[in-house]
Amino acid sequence: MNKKLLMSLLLLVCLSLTACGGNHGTSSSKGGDQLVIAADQDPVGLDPQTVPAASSSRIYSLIYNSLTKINSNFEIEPSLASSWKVSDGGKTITFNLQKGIKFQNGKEFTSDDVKYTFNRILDPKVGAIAKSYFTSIKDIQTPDKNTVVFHLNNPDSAFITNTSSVYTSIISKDVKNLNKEAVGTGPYKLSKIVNGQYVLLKENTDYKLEDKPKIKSIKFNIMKDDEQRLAAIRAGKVDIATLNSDSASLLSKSKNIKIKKYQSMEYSYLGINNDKKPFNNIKVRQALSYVIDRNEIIDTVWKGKAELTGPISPAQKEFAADVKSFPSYTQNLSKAKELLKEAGYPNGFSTVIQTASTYPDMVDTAQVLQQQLKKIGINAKIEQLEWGKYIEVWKSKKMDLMIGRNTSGSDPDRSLRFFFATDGSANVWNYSDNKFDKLVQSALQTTDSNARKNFYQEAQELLVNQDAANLFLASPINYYAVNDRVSHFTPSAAGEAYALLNATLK
Amino acid sequence: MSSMLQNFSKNKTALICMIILLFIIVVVIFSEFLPLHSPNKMNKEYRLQGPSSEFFLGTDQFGRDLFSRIISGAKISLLVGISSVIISVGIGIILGLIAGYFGKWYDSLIMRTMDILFAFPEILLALAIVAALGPGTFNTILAIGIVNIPVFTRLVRGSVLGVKNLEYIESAKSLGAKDTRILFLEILPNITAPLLVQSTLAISGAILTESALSFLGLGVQPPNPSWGGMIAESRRYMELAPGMIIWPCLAMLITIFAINLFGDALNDIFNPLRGKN
Amino acid sequence: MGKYILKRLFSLIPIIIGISIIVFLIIHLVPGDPASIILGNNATPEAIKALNAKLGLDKPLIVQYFDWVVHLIQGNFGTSVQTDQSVLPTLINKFLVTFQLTLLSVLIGWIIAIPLGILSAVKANSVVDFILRIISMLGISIPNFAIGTLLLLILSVYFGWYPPIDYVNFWDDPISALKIFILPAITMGIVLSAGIMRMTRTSFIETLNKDFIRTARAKGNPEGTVIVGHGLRNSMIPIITIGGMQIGYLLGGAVIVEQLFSIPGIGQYILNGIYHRDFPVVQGGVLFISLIFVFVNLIVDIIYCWIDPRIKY
Repeated sequence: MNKKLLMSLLLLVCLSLTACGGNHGTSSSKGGDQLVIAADQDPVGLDPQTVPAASSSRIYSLIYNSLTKINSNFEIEPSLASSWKVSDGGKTITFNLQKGIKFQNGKEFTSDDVKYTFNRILDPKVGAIAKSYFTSIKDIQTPDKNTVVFHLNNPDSAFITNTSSVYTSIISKDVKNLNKEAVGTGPYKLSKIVNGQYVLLKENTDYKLEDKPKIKSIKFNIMKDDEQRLAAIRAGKVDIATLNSDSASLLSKSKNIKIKKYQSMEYSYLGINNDKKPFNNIKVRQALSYVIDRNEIIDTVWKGKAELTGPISPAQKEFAADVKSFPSYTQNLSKAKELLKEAGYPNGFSTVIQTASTYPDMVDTAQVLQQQLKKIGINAKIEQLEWGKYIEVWKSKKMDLMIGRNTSGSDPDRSLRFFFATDGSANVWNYSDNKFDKLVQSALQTTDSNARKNFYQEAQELLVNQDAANLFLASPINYYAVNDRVSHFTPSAAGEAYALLNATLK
Repeated sequence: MSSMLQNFSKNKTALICMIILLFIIVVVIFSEFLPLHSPNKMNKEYRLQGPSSEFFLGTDQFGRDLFSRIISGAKISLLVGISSVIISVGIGIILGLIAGYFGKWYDSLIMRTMDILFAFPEILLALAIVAALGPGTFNTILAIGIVNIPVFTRLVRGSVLGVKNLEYIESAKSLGAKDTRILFLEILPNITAPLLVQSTLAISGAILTESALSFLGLGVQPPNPSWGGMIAESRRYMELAPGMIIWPCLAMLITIFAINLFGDALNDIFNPLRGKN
Repeated sequence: MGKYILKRLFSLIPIIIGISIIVFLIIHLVPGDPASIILGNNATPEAIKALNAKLGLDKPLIVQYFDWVVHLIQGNFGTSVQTDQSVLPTLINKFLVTFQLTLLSVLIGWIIAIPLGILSAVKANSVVDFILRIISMLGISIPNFAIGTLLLLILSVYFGWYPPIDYVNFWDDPISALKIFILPAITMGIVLSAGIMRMTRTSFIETLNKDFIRTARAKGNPEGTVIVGHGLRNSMIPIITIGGMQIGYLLGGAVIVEQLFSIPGIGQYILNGIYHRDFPVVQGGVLFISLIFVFVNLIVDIIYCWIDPRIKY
């Protein structure tokens, strides 16, 4: 009806637009060798050791290299280290470094830089993200220019995997302000950064490692709004954009655009304060686990495009527990009611679910959970917090219930010990279980990979099924919309940088 | 006064708008007794559906009934609009009366404070207040209320200055009337007209400000629907389920229309010399 | 006159001090600190402490305030916590962007509203008038982000059109700049047109009733000439006044539209600053906008005073 009127009005607008700039129809950004990516946030600094934001790491992971790297099958591959050797019962690790590598400022890369990097990570004043990964380091030695030897206090089976993290990117000992200067050994150099607009990377022509990039330059254009990114990829103004599942299904019909997906390493959870009444009662937490229907969350919030998950994302096939077999993963109202009654809350109670307003999926999850909790008389009020306040509440350890999202990391040690050990850096839930602590510590120190796997299985079982410390909800499938101009871009949980280095442009 | 009423009944726009607004208010008040779905009840088998006999205007991404959500949203949006204006008018009247009537340093202090508040960008100020207090309906009302205080303070002060030196006030003073009596019984009734007009405009402004806060995720909290929140949320579904954004927009449109036209009409009634002739 | 201006300038000092105190307090009272936001869920207590110390946030609030003010007086707005960039040059840059967007929005608002307002006035109280008045209110009855999203959606889906993704300065490439600004400007222009149209209508009706118009008509001038030649010219003053007021309002009010269309303006800059608790950016930014607002007001007052010397404070 009035759609027609509206359309003709808009047509008029469009005509006038094209009229005033017909010849400029082809945008300059589509120049031959440049790949344009729609990014949802500005990078917040480029120091790979202290800035964990995804908007930053997707950029500095192209500028820096780590000692090792992970491929799409979660296997460790050489990077700046050409080979390594574990000796002394797992307590000594020797890395042989690649020769003839230069930093982007022309300085040669040597073992001193590696030592400098790790010393900086371990320096409490720096507050490096990866510090807790390397608590086992006793001493670092550099017998020659191309050899680094780590002496450990105890065997650490996660050590080599952890050296592949972007947060352990090797930095040059000559660069002091890493947020101002990004000087790595990586495949791309930082060319220009215009806050609020774009980040431009240019190929590092001196790059010697195997994963040489095939695209001359990559530009990250900042587009904060979902609808805006959707419109831009549709109109062919950008080559690659991350999307939510709704937008992905809309785009599947459009020509010139392919949808690529992969199982992410992230998962959403309902965080529970294990110290606060009534959640300090294990039965209440178990009741929560039985009353919620994770499949409904997957269907409603993620439109079916997510997997059931435990604390280790299903992307880490080797270590992730088969959560479907856990009894608490099937909704069971009578069991939930019974548990709540045993805990002394036959009529339920009132509580608060806090969530971040920045992420629509978290808000949606909160709304579904709120309805589910009602079924056993738990009345939850939703509070959408602005991001800064959300983080404040998160680290306060005083919340009731909180919706959140974790990146489970490429090693189960991070997925479990980092988030849930009594002294885990990100354990804000006041969860503390002796047995769990022992299990994850043993898993870290064993060199037998089967034993390690078993420890982690047992730890997950304990955390999820027994203690219901947090409720792990869904691990989403992530979507990229890719213009047909781009080929060989295969995103995976190994990271965007990995996929970008393989991509080519038509 | 009687001539005003006469004017009012003659002004067709005012009459129609008032009927629309009264209708909305009546529906809101008696919505509990209407045979509607619960606005927050999710039906996962009926997600993103178009209008049907079961769901009059269709459903949203959780399968919630849009019609009952819009009615429920009317309640919340009007609550936010009216209560926040009551806050700003209430505080604005007191500050404006004091500043205008007593003058001197009272005036300077209050008006400079208002200047400071007025100089802040509106949305950013509301955002900062909500961020500081935490989100929620009450805090949203408070934030919008605070943001609008300077407008009313200035308006009241200006009107007070206009009538302060008129003869009847002077004579009331010379008869020994107390300041509070003069302020509330003599001056205030004489400035109700501009206040009323400004208030109607502020109500529609407040409803829009709430929607802007909702766009930033800090308005009324889910699952409770405000129209602004519904519109902000449904942007993601504009193509899949256009009804999700059209209906709340339409509801908001009609209401704000009615409020604004009503305000315009009031203006014409109170100032019969201006406007149409 | 000079005395009056001087007096007004002096009266600004307490206002500016007040603004600086309030903006400082608000942003520091909002829970959350930049360190924990930068670190996100990778934060550890020691990392937060280290970063806060680096940013000077471990000092008492009052010391931080005076540090800030002393630097301000030296013309130093500080550096962004997030980007390490100096705040003042960035602010000026972003302000210019918002200023351009604002001008274009007001222009579009005028283009929509003035003809409609005139038509409405000429046909006052007719059906046409009624319909036009209703149309003019559309823009202030729907949230602007809904209008903006709709424009983007329809253009990209049905016409495959999207504005250039790289921001350019108007004087470097006016056509691209125009294409970038056109959607947000239309969005804001629609909102603005309501007020302008209302003002045009009222002021035009008043003018049309004046004697000189009647005289012009009586002389047998064609109606078109009367309206445009005599009516418009004499109704412009209030219309321009409201346009000026809107410019002042928009400078801080473009936040949502800038966010929606990724326009690198001052509103988006400050909003981002609030989200990241980038204290120097928020403090400097809000102070900057407030100062401009205060000075614009001052200039308006001075102009009024110059036109009508009876106005005094």
